[in-house]
Amino acid sequence: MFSAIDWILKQLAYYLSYAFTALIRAIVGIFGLNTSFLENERYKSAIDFFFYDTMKIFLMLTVIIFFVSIIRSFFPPERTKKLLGEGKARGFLGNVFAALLGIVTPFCSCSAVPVFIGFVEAGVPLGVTFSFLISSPMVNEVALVMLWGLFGWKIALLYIATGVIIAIIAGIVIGKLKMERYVEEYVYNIKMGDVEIETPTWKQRVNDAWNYVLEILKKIWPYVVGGIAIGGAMHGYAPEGWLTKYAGRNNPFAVFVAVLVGIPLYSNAAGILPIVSELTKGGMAMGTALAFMMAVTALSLPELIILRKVLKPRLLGVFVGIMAVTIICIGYLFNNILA
Amino acid sequence: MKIEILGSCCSNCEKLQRSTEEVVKEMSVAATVEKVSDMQKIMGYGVMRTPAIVVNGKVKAMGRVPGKDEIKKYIQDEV
Repeated sequence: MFSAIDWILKQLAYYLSYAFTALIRAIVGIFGLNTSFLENERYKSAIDFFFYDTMKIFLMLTVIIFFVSIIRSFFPPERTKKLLGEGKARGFLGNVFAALLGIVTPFCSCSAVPVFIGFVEAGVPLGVTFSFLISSPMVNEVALVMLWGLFGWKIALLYIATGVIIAIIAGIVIGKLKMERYVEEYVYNIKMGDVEIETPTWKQRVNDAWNYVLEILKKIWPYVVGGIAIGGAMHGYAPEGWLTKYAGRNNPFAVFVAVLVGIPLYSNAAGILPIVSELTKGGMAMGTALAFMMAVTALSLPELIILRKVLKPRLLGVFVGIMAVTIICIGYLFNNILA
Repeated sequence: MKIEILGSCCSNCEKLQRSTEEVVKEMSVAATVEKVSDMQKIMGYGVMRTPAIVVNGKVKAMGRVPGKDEIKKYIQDEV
């Protein structure tokens, strides 16, 4: 079935790029300019690539976000909180459990503060709370789709597994550091009320999932189209020797620099990944690319500003530091095992 | 009737507030629509996901923007 869909997409891309080229030819012709660049092989492959990838990514985004939201409707954070707060999973197991639940619990960065307070109030240990807070935004459906569509399912799975591992490690380290006093005092004074979790009907789940798909697409489509357009423009033009030299496996600083650059960038995973994908084709090492991607999704300036409402600067700094170090290590590890 | 919209930062909170105000106007019920961004109050309702809509102290929906027909029903239930 997938190959049939792929075939249809390729045909569509062919006709769309044909129509697009005809349009460009007509416009350029009006001004009496030279249209010979339209016969260029590089131009042809770039424009094909653009239409094909755009359609493929949007189709995948629609289908996968829809199903992920259906699955997520069974794991509201209230339930996750209860599971973790009852202390059925202590110590290491608690972190593992929290990181895994982070994948399936729906979470937007606006809810970071209430979720954090809710977990702490329910008696979830600080380290376990962090494992959840790290894996939840990092392992998200948009990153998953972009990685799957552009790099293949193996890299996408690797990204998820690594995200969970980083969340477990960082959570355990923060737990061991005993930093409870670096949480803002008011957090400990908040008493949470009880609310009945409404069990949605199937109709509601489908309805909500579809609304969520539209909401996400509306938010990220300019980045996806822009990213793929830039990626397409780079197609065949990326300076290969340069990339291999500076972003390849033999430059020990590449991962380090990639993570530092990735931290302030936010949520435009959708726009950045098509470009990163072209960079890897041009010689950027895969581990460096993944580390960059993780720094973009797991650490972002807006999220840090939100987290500052509940964390004192010291704990916030420790959080960023541990995450950066772990991501850099993972980047080096992958550069050495992924050929 | 007292309607509260819980939430602090998302554009979704504004969306929910706007459609609630519209529904109130359409139904011409005597109701106040108030935005609540104080964390203590939000958590006091047991809500961890924003936006949420509370009618007469009862949490009706959270973590999503309910449609106008749903909001209408929440209000009718409390009339």
